[in-house]
Amino acid sequence: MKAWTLIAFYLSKDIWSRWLEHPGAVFARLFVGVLLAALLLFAQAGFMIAGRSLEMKVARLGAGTLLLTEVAGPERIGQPSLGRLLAPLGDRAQLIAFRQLPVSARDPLHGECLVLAYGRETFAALAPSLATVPPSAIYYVTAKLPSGVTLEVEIDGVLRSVVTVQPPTWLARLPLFNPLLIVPDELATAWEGQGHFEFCLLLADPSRPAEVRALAEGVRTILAMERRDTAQLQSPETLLDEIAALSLTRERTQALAGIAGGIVLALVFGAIASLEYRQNRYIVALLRSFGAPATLVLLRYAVEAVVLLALAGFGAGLLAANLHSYVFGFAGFEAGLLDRIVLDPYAPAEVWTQLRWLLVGALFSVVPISFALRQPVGRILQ
Amino acid sequence: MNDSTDIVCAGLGFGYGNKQVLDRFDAHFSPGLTLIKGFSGCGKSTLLKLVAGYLRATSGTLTVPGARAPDAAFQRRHLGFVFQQLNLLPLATLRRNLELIGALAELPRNQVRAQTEKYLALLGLEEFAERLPSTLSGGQQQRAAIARAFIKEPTVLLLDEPTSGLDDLNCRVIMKLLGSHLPPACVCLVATHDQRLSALPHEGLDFNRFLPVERHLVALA
Repeated sequence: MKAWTLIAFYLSKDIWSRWLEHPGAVFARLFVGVLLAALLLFAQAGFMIAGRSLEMKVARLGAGTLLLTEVAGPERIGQPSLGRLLAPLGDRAQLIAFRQLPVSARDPLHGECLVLAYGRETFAALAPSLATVPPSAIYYVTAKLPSGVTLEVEIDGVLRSVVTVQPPTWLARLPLFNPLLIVPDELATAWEGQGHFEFCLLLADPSRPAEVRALAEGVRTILAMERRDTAQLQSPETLLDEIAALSLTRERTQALAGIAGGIVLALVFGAIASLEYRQNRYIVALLRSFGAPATLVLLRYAVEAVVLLALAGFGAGLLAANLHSYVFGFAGFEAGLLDRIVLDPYAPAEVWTQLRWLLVGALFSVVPISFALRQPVGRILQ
Repeated sequence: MNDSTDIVCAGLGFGYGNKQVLDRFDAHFSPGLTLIKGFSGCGKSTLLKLVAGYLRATSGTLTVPGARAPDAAFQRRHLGFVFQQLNLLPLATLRRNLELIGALAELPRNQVRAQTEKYLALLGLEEFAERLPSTLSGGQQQRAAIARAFIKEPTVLLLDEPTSGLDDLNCRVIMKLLGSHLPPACVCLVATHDQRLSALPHEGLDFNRFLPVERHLVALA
């Protein structure tokens, strides 16, 4: 053990000595290392920010949202609503079902209102909004007034007291632009005589596209079994396919960029290491003549390459972190996406993901040395 | 592991490219000093390198004491070698050059220290022990290389032109070491042109008999 320590110590000294003798070779490797590492880190950061941007767009577009609409005439009265039919799917996605009733309603301040009836299956989705306001039979969903305000609106020619609530976030997924009045099914029977327009939202997790697809299939099956061919399903499956294709492209591009960087690094480091080996091969052969294993000598070159890469990676990390907001701000990304507290592309795990290819490249750079080490000592030493 | 104390070459063959240097070479070297003499290029150094395991024979077998074959373990534990060219580690002091070899031979630390002091003293290098090789003269470096070969008191000691280019004083110091401090049971092969070494009690091997004399050199001489 002592012998290996001594040899390792000597080889470390040898590395340091050669660095001092040939600073140009060290700086060349450091420069290439920093450049490649910085490029890869910026590329990774770009991919991550672009990915995050896509995720936000996906969330806005509702990639996990299934929308069903159905116009029901008077002949449908008495048949179960879409919301009730889809209630068994409520454990796989959040179910929100409303029936828009053909009744006129008017807020003296804000004009025409839509009247929506909701069933038991929608209680859970409404509960967080309704829990914060005084109880009421009819709620007035509007962002223009504070929550919990009691006021009067005219419904079907009669003035009724309503309590305001803020619109839940999921409401943005529905193409509803007027102020809304929501009433439970039990209180809406008087206005159901002329049919209704029903819409259901199923909010699934967009990050699990397989589950979203299964949910859409489930909806189609239920509609087919119940012969509800008047119902229209808007499914995000096509969008999910596009997103999956984009993600795959992104991952492949990222991996390819990493591998390309690794190859370039291996070539540059390997070429410089081979040149240095030629100058140093007498000493290396001498050590081998003492019985020092070639692997130990090879390790010296591997360690040198890894140390230089670590220094380059550290330098590139600092560079990337400090130029991050300038580079990506200049590239036109939203300021919110550049906040490294929210999304840090230079966290150790992320840096490792990208720079591991450079590490592989650095280790591959000693392959020429391993071939050179196969030359018999007796052909080098005289 | 070979229990014999002898080096046995049987049908050894080796060449550099198309040039055959050794062809079906047979020899038996017993403990003690053997001087190998011959013209330049006749294969003396090649033989030493083959015995050391620094070159691989293209045919034949080679048996060395203390090991099945001249491999890395043999080189670490049983072999001492002095090359023609100076071959000290340039970044290590003289003492460290010697200690490294002792440590590689897995000698106990105390023994490494004692042997280092012993051979530094025998070769008159004590005052240079902490100096780097580049600060020493050619003679001092050669003595240091020989001290390094001796430090583990090897079973096989191979010296390639150990006194070439050295003055008489340096040569006498080395001869004294070879004459009176050769480790017991050590097979010591010395490839040399130096007639001064003939004064040592030795076995001899004339390598010229294995090769045709280079006629053009005879004409020039």
